Order: sequence, then structure tokens, then C-alpha cells
Amino acid sequence: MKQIKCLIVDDEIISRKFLERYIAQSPDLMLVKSCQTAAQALAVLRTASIDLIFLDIEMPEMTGMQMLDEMTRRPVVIMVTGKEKYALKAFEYDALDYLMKPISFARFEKAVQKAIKALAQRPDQSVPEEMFIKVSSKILKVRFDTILFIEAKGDYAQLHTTERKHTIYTSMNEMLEKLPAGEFCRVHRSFIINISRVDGISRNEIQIGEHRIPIGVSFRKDFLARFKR
Amino acid sequence: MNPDFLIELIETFIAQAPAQIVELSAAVQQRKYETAARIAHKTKSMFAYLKLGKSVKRIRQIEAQTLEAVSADRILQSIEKLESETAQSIYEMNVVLAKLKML
Repeated sequence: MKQIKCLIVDDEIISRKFLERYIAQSPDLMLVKSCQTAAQALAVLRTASIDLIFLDIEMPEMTGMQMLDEMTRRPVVIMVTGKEKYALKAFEYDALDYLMKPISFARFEKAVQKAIKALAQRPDQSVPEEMFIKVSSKILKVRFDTILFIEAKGDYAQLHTTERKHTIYTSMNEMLEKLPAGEFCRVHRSFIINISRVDGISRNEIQIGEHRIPIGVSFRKDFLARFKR
Repeated sequence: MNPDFLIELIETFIAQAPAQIVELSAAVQQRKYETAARIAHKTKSMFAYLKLGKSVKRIRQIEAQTLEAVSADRILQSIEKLESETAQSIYEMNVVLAKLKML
């Protein structure tokens, strides 16, 4: 069986250490990252494919629930907390299980068994991390997280990546179909941007590194709503 | 429990717990009861994982006192007791740690 890729999000160090240990003791699980804050976890989720999150609820700056609100695509979630009062709320967020700290290995294993069953019933939601493009006579692999933005150039599209530019024969609509929907956004008739690469937004422009991307009037409302989310 | 993991836990506890109690005390002194309750809650979990039942009860009491916003002096008295219990626990843990490191 394929290992389940896990993410831990908990601001409490000893709790993290126990979860890390339990995951290491479970052959079905693989720890991708152990994060102290929800912001760190969201950054991991933008680039890595995660099947299961062990998520603390009470964390400073951003709580576990607020983190879930930020996510468009949610892996299976097991809440970990020291308070019973969040149980109902956790299930409103479709959490698969609710573990009370201190968590015993037996209780952890029980929750993991539930997760294994739930994941087996889910359609494959693993997110591709790259795509292949045809440039001249070569086929190249491009990781989504290296793309800054894509610019339409007549019948071609120019992919601006962290390393170089690629010009390929394709339309913007075809490009959008290939890109992970939650991570990219069309902001202008001629521009698609990688949301995680945005450095700043003004009324009419988006800043990505040294580049200034115009925001089309008809795209502005949707883009800003999505960014606020 | 695996000795290496136990060493790691004890060392983390020794490094973190006193600092968290200082943070808790400072929050109470500044009458930031909401912050104090949050720190107490987080600290309680750390003690619970190490099965320090007496201190867990004490922190639960402190957490309740901060949520009820009882007088700062009373909460600080409870924190003092927690500090002394923690110092004793750390002393005992250092003995265990020394033995574990000799294995």
C-alpha cells in the first residue's frame, strides 16, 4: 500500500515530538513536515501533496479552524487538542477524528485506521506537482512551484519561471486546464499568475518579484475575492 | 519507551517548561488573562505528556483562575507552587537523564 503523506501542525513542541514519533512507528504513514504554525503549514500545502493532517486547534496567530478556512482543497484532517469544547466544531469542519492531548499511541492508531479507510474511499486527490511542455523539439518538465506567471503572446504563451522563460504554442485556456486550479489564477486576458508567488497587490497591478502584472477590469473582482479568502 | 526518545523529551521539557512558566507569570502580572490562559493551556499539555499529574492539576487550577480573572496575587501564588513543583520534577528528571545517558 502507498504510504499516507502526513503533516503535523501544532505549536506545542512535546505534542509535535509525540506525533512525529507515532508517525515514525506507523509503517503506513510518512511524515512530510512538522510545523509549528498554521502559516508554515499552508506554505507546505502549496507545494507538497499531503493526504492527512494532524491539526492542533488552539494556536496563536492562526487557529486550526482558520487554517482550514484558507484551504480550497482539504486532505483528511485529524484534530488534536487539549479541550473537549471544540469537538462539535471539529466535526462541522469534517474532521475525521478528534484526539485529546495527551494522545496515547493506541488512540492514535485507531484514528489512523479510520484515516486509512477514509482515504481508500476517496477518489485520488493527489496533486500533480509538475507538467510537461513542448519547447521547439524538446519536451521539458516544469514544476508548478517554479512558475511565476504566464503571459499570452499571440498564439503562444510565455512561461516565466524562477530560472528562465519558455515560449510554447498553446492558448491561455489550455494552460489553465493544465495548472492546479487552487494555485493559479487568471488576472488579465493575457496573464495567469501563480498565487503563491505574489509579493504585492495594488489597485491595478500585481507585483511578482521585479515583474508588474496588470489586473484586468473583468478579472479584478474574482481575483481580489479569492485573495482575501 | 525508547531511551533516546525519553532523553529528547526530558531535555525539551527542561529547556521549555521553566521559560513557559516565566511567560505565564509575566502575563498574569500584566493582567493579560486571556494570554495567560492560553499559555497555561499549552503548558498543561507539556506536563501531561510527561505524566506530571500533580502539576497538571495545578496548571488546570491556574487556567481556571485566569479564565475567572480572580486576583492576580492568588494566581501568582499558584504559579509559585507550580514553579517549585517544576524545579523538583526537573531535579528528578536530571537524575533519570544522567542514568539514561550512561546506558
